[in-house]
Amino acid sequence: MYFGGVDIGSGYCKCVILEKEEIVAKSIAPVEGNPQLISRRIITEILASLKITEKQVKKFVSTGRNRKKFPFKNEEKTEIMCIAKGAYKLIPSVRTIVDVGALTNKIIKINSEGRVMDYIVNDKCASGSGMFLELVAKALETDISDLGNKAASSDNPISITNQCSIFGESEVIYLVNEGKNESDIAAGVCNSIGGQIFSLLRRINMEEDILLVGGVAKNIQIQRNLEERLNLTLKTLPLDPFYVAAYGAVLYAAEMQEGGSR
Amino acid sequence: MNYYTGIDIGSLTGKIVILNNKNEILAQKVIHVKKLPLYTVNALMEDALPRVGLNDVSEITYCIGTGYGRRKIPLANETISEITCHGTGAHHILPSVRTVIDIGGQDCKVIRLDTQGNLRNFIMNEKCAAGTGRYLEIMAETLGLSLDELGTLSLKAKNPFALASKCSIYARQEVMQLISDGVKKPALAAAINKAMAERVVNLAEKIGLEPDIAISGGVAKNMGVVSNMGRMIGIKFKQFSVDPQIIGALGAALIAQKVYLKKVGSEN
Repeated sequence: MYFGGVDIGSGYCKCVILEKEEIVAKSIAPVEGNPQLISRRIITEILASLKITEKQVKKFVSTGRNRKKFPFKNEEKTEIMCIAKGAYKLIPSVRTIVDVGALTNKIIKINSEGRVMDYIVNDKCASGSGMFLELVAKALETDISDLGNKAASSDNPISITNQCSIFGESEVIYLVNEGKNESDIAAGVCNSIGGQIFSLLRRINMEEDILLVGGVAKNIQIQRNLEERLNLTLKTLPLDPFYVAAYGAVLYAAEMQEGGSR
Repeated sequence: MNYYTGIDIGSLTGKIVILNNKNEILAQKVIHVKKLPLYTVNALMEDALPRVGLNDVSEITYCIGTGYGRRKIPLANETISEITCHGTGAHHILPSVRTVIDIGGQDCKVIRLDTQGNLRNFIMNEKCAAGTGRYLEIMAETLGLSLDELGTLSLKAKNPFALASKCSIYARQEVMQLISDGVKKPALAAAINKAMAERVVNLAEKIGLEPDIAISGGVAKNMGVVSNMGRMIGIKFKQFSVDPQIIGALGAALIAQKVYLKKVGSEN
């Protein structure tokens, strides 16, 4: 019996397929302004790779900002619920989850049973979000996945003064044109994002353990910077941090089936 | 003959104005910025100097630099803030103006002037790209239009709808979605210009708007934004008789003359 969890964010579409409580397939693709098309493609491809049909997936649960665009029959859950569900299942000691997405940063507090107790969302402004990192990667002509390593090798981070991602991008281009060291620029950018996550965290009564999820969690320099600011070690996930919400969604799908349809 | 020069190095464009003793504009030029402010200055000089019959920058009588890149203009005798330069330039062309709304590439300023053209108060957004020229640039790019087309095309849509996002990056995402939903470009252009106008008017209303009001900067040429702003404020804007993009450089050149004459006067 298969279940599907799909997280259609503003940057990427992530999909997880579960069979007997095990992840049997997962896939990710950039949304590129067309969540319907991309989520349809990603599901079609993942089903083909498993050699199963859509009918064999008992239930899909969708989440993410663009979940309404999911073209298959499904149930919807909010990202807050799915992130909490996925993170708690992966690391039950987690109490505070930081999700850094393409556009939105979220802090979610859960209790010892995994229930959401509180959350804050920055969904008005893309400052400190994954999109900033993407713009910078483009300006530095680096792959976004290399940006963290590049930054981590810097001894002399250049501080980035603009919070706005667009102005920050211009600032980075200017620094490049001035001939500044690219690792130092990358480090400054990562530290700036770390700072913005930190100030969001300070608005909530955070509790350990703390976990970073979402695509940006893969960036080692942001991780380190946040650890320095918090003076603690962040938890490490046994799953690619991109998939936490999709994993939570698929857990909901399986649960719904067990408890009879809802 | 004296040559008073104002150079305004903004984040998106560089501007130069050269005036003679009678405050007549001998040369003016607006160009897109180069990689570094210094290159922009050199390109402006290469264009302007031959047109006033000069061979070398040393023949310029006095030069004032302004704008975001003003500290990177080697030939400037001194630098002055854009706020002062825009106020001076606007008052010179339109003495009745009490409020100047300058929409630049990476900021937006609202400047209040007294009857003498002195600065009374100002407010500035340089923190957020929404409500600056950069927002329009990003949106034009997303729609595959030039900045001019973004302005003219929007006039074809009668009742612009409201975009849900303020942030430039969110709005880009929203517009991309609307394009894939089949919304037509004129309607999107109109919604973008309306959102832009709202941001600027919100800022302006924080310090109050006293007529006459004029708009300077590149965005003054976008009729979609200007007409929306006029409707929101309920006023008809005064029009500059010169290119609204050179107001800051003009102000700088006027101040260059004033400062130079004062210096010469005190030396004699």
